[in-house]
Amino acid sequence: MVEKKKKKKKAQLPFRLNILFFIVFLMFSVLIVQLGVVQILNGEDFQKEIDRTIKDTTKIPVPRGKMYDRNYNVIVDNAPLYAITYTPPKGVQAKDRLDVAVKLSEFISMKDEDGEFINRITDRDKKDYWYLLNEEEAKSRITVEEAAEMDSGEEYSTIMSRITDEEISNFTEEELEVIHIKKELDKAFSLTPQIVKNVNVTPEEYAKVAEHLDELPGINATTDWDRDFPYGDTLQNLIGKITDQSEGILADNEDYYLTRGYSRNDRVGRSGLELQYEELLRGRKEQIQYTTKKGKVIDSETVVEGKSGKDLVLTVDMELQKQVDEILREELKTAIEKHPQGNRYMDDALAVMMNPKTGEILAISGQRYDRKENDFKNVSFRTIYDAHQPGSVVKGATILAGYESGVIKPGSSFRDSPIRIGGDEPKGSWTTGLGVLNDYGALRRSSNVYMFYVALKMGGENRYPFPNGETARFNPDAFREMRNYFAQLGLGVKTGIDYPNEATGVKGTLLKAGLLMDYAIGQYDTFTTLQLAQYVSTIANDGYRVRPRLLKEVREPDSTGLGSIYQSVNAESLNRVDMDQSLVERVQEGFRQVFQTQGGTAYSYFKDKEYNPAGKTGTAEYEFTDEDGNMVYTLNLTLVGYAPFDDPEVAFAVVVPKTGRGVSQQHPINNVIGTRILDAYFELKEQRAGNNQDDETEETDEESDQNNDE
Amino acid sequence: MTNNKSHYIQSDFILLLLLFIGVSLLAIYNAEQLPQNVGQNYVIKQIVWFSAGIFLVSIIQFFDLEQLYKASIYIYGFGVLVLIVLLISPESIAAEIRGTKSWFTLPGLSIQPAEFTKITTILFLAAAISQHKGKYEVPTIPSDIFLLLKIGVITAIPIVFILMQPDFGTSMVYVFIAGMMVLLSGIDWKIIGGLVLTVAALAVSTLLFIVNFPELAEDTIGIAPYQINRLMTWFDPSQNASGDTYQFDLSMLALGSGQLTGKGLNNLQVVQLPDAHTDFIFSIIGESFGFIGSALVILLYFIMLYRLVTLGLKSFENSQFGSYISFGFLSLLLIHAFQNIGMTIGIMPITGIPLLLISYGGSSVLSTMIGFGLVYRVAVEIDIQNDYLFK
Repeated sequence: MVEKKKKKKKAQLPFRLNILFFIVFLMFSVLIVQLGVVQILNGEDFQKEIDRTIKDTTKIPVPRGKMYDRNYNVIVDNAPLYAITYTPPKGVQAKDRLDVAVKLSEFISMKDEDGEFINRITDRDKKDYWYLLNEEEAKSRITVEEAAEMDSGEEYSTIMSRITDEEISNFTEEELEVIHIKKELDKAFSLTPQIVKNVNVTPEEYAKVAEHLDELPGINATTDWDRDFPYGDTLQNLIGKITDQSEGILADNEDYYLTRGYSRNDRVGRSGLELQYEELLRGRKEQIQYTTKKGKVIDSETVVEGKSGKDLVLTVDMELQKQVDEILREELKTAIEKHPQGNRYMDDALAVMMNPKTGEILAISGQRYDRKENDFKNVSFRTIYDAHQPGSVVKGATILAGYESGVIKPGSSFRDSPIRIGGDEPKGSWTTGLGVLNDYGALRRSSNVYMFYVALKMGGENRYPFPNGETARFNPDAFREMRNYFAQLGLGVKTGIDYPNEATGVKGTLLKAGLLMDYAIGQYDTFTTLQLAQYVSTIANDGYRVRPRLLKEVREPDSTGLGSIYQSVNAESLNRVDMDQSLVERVQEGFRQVFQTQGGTAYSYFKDKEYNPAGKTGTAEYEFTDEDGNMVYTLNLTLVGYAPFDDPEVAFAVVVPKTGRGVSQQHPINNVIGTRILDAYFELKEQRAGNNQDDETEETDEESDQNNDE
Repeated sequence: MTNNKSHYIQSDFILLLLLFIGVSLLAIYNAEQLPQNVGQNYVIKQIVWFSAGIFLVSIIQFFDLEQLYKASIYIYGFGVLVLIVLLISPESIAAEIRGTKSWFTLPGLSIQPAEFTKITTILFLAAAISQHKGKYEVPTIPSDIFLLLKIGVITAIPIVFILMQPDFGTSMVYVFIAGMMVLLSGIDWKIIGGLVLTVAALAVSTLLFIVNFPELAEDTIGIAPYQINRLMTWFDPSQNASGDTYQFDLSMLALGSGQLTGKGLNNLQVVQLPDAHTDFIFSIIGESFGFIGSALVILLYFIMLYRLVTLGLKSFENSQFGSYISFGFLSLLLIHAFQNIGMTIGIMPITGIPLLLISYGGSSVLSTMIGFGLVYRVAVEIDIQNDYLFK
């Protein structure tokens, strides 16, 4: 018995070892078979999946073009801002971003100088963070059964709701930094740079991050930019704005941008010149093509070299612009302070100065007085967007219309006495006793009646003198005819300026004889200041209507200074008026007399000027209803002109709407402004010529370039 | 065995070890090329670990089996004590990593005590079984049951503390080792059969209970929800959309694309494979050296296990203690190899169990080398005995 058992015991071990070894053999066989299935049977499929490559193109923004004034002073610059950006590779998980955030928090701070965080974070952001730190604990907050019924989104939000406030209330300052950073990282789209921090990045932070880029996958230390205006407010309103990164491209024109290769978060011109010249200013983005295999970038290639935006040289003379701004502000201020009651509706003063031959705008100024804030604002754009009844400044156009339609001839005369059509109020000139006037006289003395006869005759009413009280014969086609002549001079049509959404003014719809008479003296349709400037330029320029423009040259970008010329913008003549040169010259002479002959309406202001000016004054009655519903009677005071008479180099238009009726004679702000801005122009010219003579040897290309223009 | 050779040169074990070290360094070198590991010097560190391990192996050779046998209970006790110390250690020296408290995290050094306790437990199990078999030369049913109880208690004590970390995967390794020891301890088939049936029935009913009443299971047996999720994932892999399949997908992609011959050194394509140098080192081997290379590594394990079986068999006449050390170490290598390789090719669930002798890691290398040192001593002792007999 004992013997037997001993034998059994001895036999036991090898037998059991055989079983063990058989189990081992079986288990290893399973491994080998499965290995064969994975590697030999399915291996090719796995390799194919790896080889599946995806090509993505990333566009890296380049600095926007700068702007210079005509004398190559920088008006708009790019102020560099250090920025920390994050460009996530494909397939990055929240945990990876957390790792990056933790690492990055060692180098940068998301707080401002006062120790406050720049951005806000929500409880949700904190919970996201908590979740990542305590994933298994968080997942245990929902039961398996609940999880089975929810999709992953619901599951996550349920978990979020079950994280208590207490759990997310005790984060350290360091952890809060991490949460702030991670929030910015989470905003990024795959392969698209996202700014993590670009406000108050210290050079130290920038350097630290730049040094440790290899430990921070996707992070880059770059320089972003912001628009900088060395002249401050001056002209800034005309230059316009650009969108920030969160706005991106303009939503109402998305397709336009997307088809031109913009990304949705690109900063684009939103208004003004930034919008007008977006194409030039934007530059060409650097395009890098990433080849991705199974989520890993294996190759990157620069497909398109980046190029900064082109620099713009504007026609504006910033020195002159500043002075004109100042003059308008001063005069507006003076008029309002002197006659606070009389001028209680006065708010704007507008002026445009341009070269009548080239269309180059030298100064374009608008000042608005804000009564509530007792403050003046630059509103240059109103010279392009706001239209007003201009009054008698259009009489040059009326005379030309009369010549060309044949109703008057050079030298035709009419007696200036009021005309009354049917039962209407009699219509006369601004003063009585002007007597018989020919065309020169009509301009010099600003006769309304002369213009009325031109209008009546164009309408088919040829009786002279008109029998007061009778009905006038009137062919409404005369409106079309007269407006057509005005349009040839730039009134009532687009001037063609390189600025978005230019206004053309309002055309009256009623067509009656009396209204055409109003039209003839500038009291019916409304025109913009810019249209008036083009009108007087056309007269100064012997009938050639030139497109006004703000762009003089386009320059290649150059980080060291002014780049080479990419494109020069040439003067563009839009049309030549139908009238003979000699007829235009008669109007020119009439305008000269206004400024330079005894009895001219602006004689007292311009009689002594050496620069030989010509022009036309204007006053329009402007009635409107104020906030309380009362009819208010005001005057729009205007002035157009140019100088020198024989070889014009500057033309201008001034409009000051809503001046007080009673006080405009005491303070003809239009004439004061006109005198001062012309003075400013010629003084500046003289001053510069003097400087040039002083250091003739040091004369630069740019300055001689400018001289060529003049 | 010739006389002119030292007993201490066990050329077959030395050769096997060198082959493992070679495979390990080659695979870790390759894993080091992955971008997430750039700048790490895992190869150098692993060389240091192996060197330290070889030193430990040499130290162990100064003790004979008799001494180890006597010391085994104290060694086991020390192993358990360390587990307890770990549990009550403050966060500063034993930080929670991924929700478990399994590591002493000292500056510049992390130690996972459970790895070492595996060896101390095996040592004591071997001592207990051989002692029992010496005492009850003729086994009876009650004596077998007594042995079974001993094995059960010796294994259960460390398991309790490991479950408290909690580390389910490592506990299972202990259970497997204990099971193998029971099988080889000669306990009557009837008892083993009964035990297997009971355990199986218990396991199945627990599993069914957990799967069908997860909330109740959570309350009553304290199983964590993520553990339930893992179990369920294993039953229905298609349901899982979390990070686990992300790892698994990448592992399959890497290993599978190695195809028959592999891509060679320095030519990895599945670059974002996580834990490539530790738990997923076999995927790297598969991608680098293909089916041929991976199958050779499996063969290497097979030879090692075979050698341990023959060692155990040889030692049985002279020292049952030595035999059971061999079997315990065999079980340890087997379960680690099968679980780890199985996980990378999709036949086992994903757990954090390293591929012993190949994966990077100080604790696993050192503890395995200690185990290796013990079986090496067993082999040395057989040679000494044989020599003695021939004299």
